[in-house]
Amino acid sequence: MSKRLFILATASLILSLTSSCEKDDLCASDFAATPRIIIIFKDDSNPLLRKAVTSLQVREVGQTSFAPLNNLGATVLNVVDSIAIPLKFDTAGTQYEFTQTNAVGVANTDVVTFSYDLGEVYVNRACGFKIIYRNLNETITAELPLNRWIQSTTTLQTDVTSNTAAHVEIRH
Amino acid sequence: MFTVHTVLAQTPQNTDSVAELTTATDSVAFKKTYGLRIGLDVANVLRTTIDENYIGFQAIADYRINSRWYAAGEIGTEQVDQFNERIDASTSGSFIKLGADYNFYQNWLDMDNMIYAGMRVGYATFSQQLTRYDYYQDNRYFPIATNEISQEFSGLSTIWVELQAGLKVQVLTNLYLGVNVHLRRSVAQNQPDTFDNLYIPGFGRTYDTSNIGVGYGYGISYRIPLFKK
Repeated sequence: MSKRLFILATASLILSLTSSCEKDDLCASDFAATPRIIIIFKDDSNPLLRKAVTSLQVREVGQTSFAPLNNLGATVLNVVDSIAIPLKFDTAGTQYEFTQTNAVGVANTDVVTFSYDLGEVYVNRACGFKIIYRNLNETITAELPLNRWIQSTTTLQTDVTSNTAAHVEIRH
Repeated sequence: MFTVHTVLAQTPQNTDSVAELTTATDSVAFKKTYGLRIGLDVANVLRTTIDENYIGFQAIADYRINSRWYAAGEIGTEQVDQFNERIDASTSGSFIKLGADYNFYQNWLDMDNMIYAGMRVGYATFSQQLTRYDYYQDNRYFPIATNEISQEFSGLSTIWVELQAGLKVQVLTNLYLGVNVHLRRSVAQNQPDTFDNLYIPGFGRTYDTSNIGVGYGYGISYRIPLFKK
């Protein structure tokens, strides 16, 4: 009797060990990834109003490919008043070229440098760690004012820790 | 008939037939061996030989208090290397579990088997070494960075409560084989501020979504006979 039970218990143990795919082992997208910087575009003459950019592309200075502007990975957006772009996580700054193309096809590129302090946060076993950015500030590379399409920038949140609210306002 | 035979065999000096009848009911109960039963968890040894990312050893012990209750405990060490998609880490430390087992099995004659349920309080002290980690990105515009490091998180500990169920079968005199399953729930954890306890010696791997752990054991043990009663 007890020997039969012993064999039964052993067999069920072995069976229970063969199934071990856990949901914890997969990084589900509902866990927060490294946040992107969210930029909103406002009217320079009336900063209370949003002002869409006719056509926008953003590229890190020195790179040939354009940065994703939203969570779908689009690199060109037309009539857009907010974007979310990644920041570098191996240096304390990212230099971006913002290229606006107007209705008649004339492109204008301005360079904005984002500076910040890097920090890292543990997410979980499957997702690893993520980066957070603190003490964010921006500078527009000097250019003749007539050649600039970006007039000014304002930091709305100095800490980029999540993608729930806008961090920077660009007036144009 | 069997009872009478045994009584006669055990008490040949008893010539008083009346006394023999009155003691007969007592003599039916066979004497149980008391003593410390110590052994080894074979599951840990097997895994150590099979799994190159695991080194573990666990000693098991129990002591019969009466026919139903046993004081029981386990003590051991474990070292586990874990390789995940974005994190590699290893855990090493030791643990102790103390509690009691209740035997539900009604042994016949001189059988000495157990079908038992038990409870333990477990305590582990350990350290973790983070050896590699990646950042979770939702895009690949900047190359995904892998950090190869060696960061030690020491002085970690966990306390848990554990339910056990299992069998122990006497295969030779005083030699026992056993299987058991465990359900655990951590009650207190001392974990790093900037990391997590991915594995706890004696408890097993942890889950983000619950503080429940499961386990099993496969024991071989020997009872050092001290006395019978």
